[in-house]
Amino acid sequence: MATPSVAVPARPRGARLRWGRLPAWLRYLLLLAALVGIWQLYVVWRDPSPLLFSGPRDVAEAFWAGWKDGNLARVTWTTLKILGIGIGIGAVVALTLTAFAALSQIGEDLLRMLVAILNPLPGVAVLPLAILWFGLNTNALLFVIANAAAWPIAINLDTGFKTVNPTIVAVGRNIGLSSRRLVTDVLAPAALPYAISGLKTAWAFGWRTIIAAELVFGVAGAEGGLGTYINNAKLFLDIPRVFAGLVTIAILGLVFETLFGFLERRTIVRWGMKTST
Amino acid sequence: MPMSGSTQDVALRGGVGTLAGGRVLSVDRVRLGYWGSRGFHLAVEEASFDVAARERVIVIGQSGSGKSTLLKAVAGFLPPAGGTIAVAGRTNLAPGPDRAVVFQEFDQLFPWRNVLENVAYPLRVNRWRRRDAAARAREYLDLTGLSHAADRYPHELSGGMKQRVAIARALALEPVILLMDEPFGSLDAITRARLQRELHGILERTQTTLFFVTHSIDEALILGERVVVLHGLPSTVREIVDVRDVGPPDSPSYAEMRIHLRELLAIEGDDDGDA
Amino acid sequence: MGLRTNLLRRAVAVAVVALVATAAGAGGTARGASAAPAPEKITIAYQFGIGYAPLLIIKQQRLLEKAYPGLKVEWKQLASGTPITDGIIKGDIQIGAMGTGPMLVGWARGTNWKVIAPLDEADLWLMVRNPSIRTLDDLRGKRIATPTATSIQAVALRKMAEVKLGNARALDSSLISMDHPDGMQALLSGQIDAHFTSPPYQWLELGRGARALGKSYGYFGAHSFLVTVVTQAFYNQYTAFSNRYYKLIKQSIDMINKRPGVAAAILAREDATETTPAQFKRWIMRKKSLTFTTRPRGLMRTAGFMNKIGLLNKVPRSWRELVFPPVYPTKGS
Repeated sequence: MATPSVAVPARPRGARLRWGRLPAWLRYLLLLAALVGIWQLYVVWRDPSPLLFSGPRDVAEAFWAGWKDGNLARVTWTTLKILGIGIGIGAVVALTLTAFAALSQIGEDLLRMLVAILNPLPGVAVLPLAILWFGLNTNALLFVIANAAAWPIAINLDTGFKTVNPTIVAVGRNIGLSSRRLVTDVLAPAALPYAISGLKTAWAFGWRTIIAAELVFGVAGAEGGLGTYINNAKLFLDIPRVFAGLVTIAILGLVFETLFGFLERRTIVRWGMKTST
Repeated sequence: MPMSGSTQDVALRGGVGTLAGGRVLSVDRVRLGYWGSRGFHLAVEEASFDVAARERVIVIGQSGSGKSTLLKAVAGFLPPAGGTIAVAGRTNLAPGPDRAVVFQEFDQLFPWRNVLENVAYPLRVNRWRRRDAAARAREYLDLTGLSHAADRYPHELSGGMKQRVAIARALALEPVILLMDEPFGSLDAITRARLQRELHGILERTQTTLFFVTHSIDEALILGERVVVLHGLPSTVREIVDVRDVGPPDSPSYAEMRIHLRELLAIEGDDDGDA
Repeated sequence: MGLRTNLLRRAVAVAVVALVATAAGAGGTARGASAAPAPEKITIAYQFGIGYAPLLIIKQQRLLEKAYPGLKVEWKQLASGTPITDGIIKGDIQIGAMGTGPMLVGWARGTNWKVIAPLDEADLWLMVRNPSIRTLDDLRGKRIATPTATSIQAVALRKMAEVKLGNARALDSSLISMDHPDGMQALLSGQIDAHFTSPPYQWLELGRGARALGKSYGYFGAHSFLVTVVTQAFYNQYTAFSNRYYKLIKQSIDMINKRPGVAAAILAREDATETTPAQFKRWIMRKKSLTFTTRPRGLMRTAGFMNKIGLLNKVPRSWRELVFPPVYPTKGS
């Protein structure tokens, strides 16, 4: 078969240098190394007080020591546990309210009102009240996290349910689905992109809230979490450990972003349903 | 697309026809409307017609003539404001798989299920076992020429293929009457013509009773045995025309019938009534 | 004429240079040398409690301003010790009042500060209210509030745990950080089970139905409670001022010990709550559990224990490493 000759278009940006041709993970790794290098240079050149700032070497040592003696692992797990349970509670509340809203006008009104009143409250502002109600224990923290998580999830789910394609709902009724199955088999998967989006937001809010709350609270439940670890390190003027704690938070953020991406790829991307980044 | 080999069984099975007087659908002095922002809007003033077992009836009318509303009422989405709609002798029906619908929109498939699951899932909803449902689904995918696409997700399909899946899904339920609401209205002319021919062949094999809504006269003539003409605002049945003996599209009888139907639809000038 | 003109010009040039150098040098001398009399402005930070009494007397009587006319003194009362530490590190605070615990932690970590004037010694009590809590063991799994994690109370609790329960860390999972007023409220309302606190809060709690489960003197002997610190750099730059400050503290302590009525009246004027002068007088006279003195005690013992349980990474070889010269004659420990 004769191939007609076509003028080859110019190479895309960045690809002419070798940079654009490297795989994504390598590009990020190199950029990260460059940033760490700049960090080290700053420490060496400006020699800031070790009570104010740490260099990459010290932070790496503190990080490694923290994981080796199990402290970082323990506090990370404590924080993640509370966060997970709190978000779970928030999700259940959100689901209930949203289902109620989908099925009745009064439910819809109730949801709107609760969101308007409770969503703007930053989690940490609710904490003193929560301590008053639930006592000085994990339950207060769970309440605060649940509150931080429930409203983003509810808002997103509500939008998701509202924007479900009515044709699909008609198909569901046509093939004989009961109301209950219509919700579980049609509305729920159709709203999945919004559910995931809500979950991502809830996770982000939850993280910020739990770390801040741990500082206000003094201790997370029986033992400290990551926020307490960082605060304690600062109290003892162990700045490398403070940085190590922050690095842990950053790494966790990356891990969860990857997990979310994975989840999305297996579901809404595969189904061509992804609505936004 | 040529039909892949399908078993004789599929052709011999098909629309159920065991009913009193052989009538599957009976629309008796039906009056249809809906509540809009300006009060009750009457779409269909009065319509009466029957559909017999294995018959293919097309309802045509201009846009806004209430033909989709009529289909929705037969499907059970809308209660009649007057008159009765009886399917296999039963009235006051909620939506159900005995009146499977193929809608006009492409996105009538579940995006989170692949092609095979989209066809098999409604069967499982109706108490079929997983394996049997999958087998039946594959049969109908064969029939509609989609076997090669069984693993694909709807977002990977073209518009024409999506409608084929919808047709397979509806047929797999082996409904008492197959309802189709302008299913080819969103397709380009070439795909549309191809799907019309395919549907005709499939229905010949399955002998499914058909209630089809369109504003295209050609579609009515290609697919239908009787044509119900809706006209007026609110509409009434102007005439029910038997088109069984009309010849192929290039024949004089076809051209004559076409003119006749255009007159019935009160279409002026060169407008050929197609979208 | 030519040679003399050249010489003249050169002489003028040298004179100008010398003048400029002197001016610059003079300015520099005024700024940098340790002969400088006093800073122009100084920030002093402290917290809440009767233990800061000597400092409060200096504040109320404006003793520093009288000693150094023109000196601007900014007094900051803060709810916890953490911002005081931060402030000294950053240079916003020059004299900071804190407990011996945070003082030691900072010293070990290189804040380069030392004690310029101790304020007092105090017996710190672990208060409980629930009658069913009888021994330290009963506090396992319950909630114990201390001031920050670096506080001397947190250290004392570890010592108690080591002596009574065999393991200094036995109660670690029960510890919560709360400042004194919050802790008192939490104990009295039942939100926490124990409050390791200090005067006057422990006395107030005693009056409201709580009792002392343990006292720090019983484990460390008599020991210092609050001290005031400055950085080595500050001391080097303003030695005379620092020494004078020490004398003023000593002077205030003498007044408290010898003329408690007068001192109490001054404290009541300073205080923002409704505590009466009579109440203050009663407090400052509870010599058994609160003694105002510039002699530091128990620093080495505390540092040694903190190092043993991993709260301190460096121990001083002698108590003198922790204080400035004015304190040496007190023969501390």
